[in-house]
Amino acid sequence: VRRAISEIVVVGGSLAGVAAIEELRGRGYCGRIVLVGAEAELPYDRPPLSKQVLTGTLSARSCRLRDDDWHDTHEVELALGTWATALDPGRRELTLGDGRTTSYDGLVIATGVTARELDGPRLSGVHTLRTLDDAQALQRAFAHGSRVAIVGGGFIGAEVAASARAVGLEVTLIEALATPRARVLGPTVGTVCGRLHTDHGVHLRCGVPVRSVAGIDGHVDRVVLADDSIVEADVVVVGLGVRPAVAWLDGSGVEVADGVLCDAACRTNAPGVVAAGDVARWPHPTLGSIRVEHWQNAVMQGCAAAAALLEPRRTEPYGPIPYVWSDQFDVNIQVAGEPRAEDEVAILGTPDDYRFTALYGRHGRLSAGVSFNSRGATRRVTRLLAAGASFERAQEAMHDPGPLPLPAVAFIPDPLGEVT
Amino acid sequence: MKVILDELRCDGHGTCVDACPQVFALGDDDEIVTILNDAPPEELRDAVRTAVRVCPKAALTLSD
Repeated sequence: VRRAISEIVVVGGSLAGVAAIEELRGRGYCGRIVLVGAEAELPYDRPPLSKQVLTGTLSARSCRLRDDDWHDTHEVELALGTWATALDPGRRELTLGDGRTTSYDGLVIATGVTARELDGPRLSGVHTLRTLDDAQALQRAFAHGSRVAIVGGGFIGAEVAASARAVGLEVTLIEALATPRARVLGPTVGTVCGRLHTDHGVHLRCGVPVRSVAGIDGHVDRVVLADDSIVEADVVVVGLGVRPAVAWLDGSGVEVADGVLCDAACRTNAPGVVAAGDVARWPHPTLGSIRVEHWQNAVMQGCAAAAALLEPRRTEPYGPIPYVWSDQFDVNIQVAGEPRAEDEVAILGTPDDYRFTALYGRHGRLSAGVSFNSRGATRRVTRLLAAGASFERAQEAMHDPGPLPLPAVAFIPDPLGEVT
Repeated sequence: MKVILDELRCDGHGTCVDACPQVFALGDDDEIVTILNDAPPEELRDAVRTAVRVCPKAALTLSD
């Protein structure tokens, strides 16, 4: 017997949770919605945190995702500044940090991820960057600091490096691999990413992992590398990736393995419980088991999870073409698809002036495209990926577009709800 | 149905082009999106709504 849904709890007050709520209301769901968020802030957008918030050009308020009356117009009960601490799927009950419990018919898990930290004693001056509080603390540290060491050369580390240079700080970017970004983008494009930093005055220390951070009187003053060399710094930013925020599900029976495990339609193994955004791992129809930590995916998977909740018989697999971007210095980097370090790479354009597209091929098929300052090119890559183009055909089509199949917007949940 | 692009907000992601290429376009040398038809036909409403929703800069609005 299927129970009618009249109480939905969304755990996680960020982009995926907001998208899920809008999809629920758009599809005509008019029951109760409770939004539980660990942070006290109204839902905000994260991309500016590593850029305009750090350089002091965008206020915290301007980062809000929606107008201040959004929760009223969407009839959402807010429980912000509140952790979810336990889930009992048998009783359909969620326990909150203040000891309250709330029952649900449907639950959306959208708790996202938390930043990995370095082992060892806590020192002031050592930062991670995930939340608005983190960004504001780092912005203050930048205002009083002079030398910044960034541990990890991923997109977050690279964007923080660019922001630190923009406010006039001396910056060292420390990357354990021989080339930044090489683990995902491969050595060819990774080398360009590294050069972009040195061109803008960033000191690159590649090929040696970090052993520890150290300081005096509880404040960091250096990073010690595995070869005993030292990078002096009064601000250290740790950008070593993230972990899915799933500890609150311990003992619930909801399956977890580097993320909340979902089926192809974003449902977990617990009845009435779906997951979306950075925290969700699901079997992508063409990419296999993945978890995607991108803005675009948070919106679309939030919609897909909401649809799955309202339509228990819905089986349509959620199969987006991953898309992510990064702004570093004056360069806009866009990635469509899932590049891997071992893929073949064909470069179109001129990497020397940071205006090119790298196509990635795997087993004869186009697997991804990475473009620098070539915005339109990414859209063509997306279409070619949607069409399942061969690597060879993709290179021809990029050189000489001709008529391309119309998109195949494989990633949009269908049918779409109303946007209110 | 009327589509409005805030050109100051648009950052040329072009995700709207993926969602509704009949209404939005982004050339190789373009920094921002071009609207091909700011009063699209009713049958494109869902696609345009999707475009509005997937814009990372909230640069698009749709009015009736």
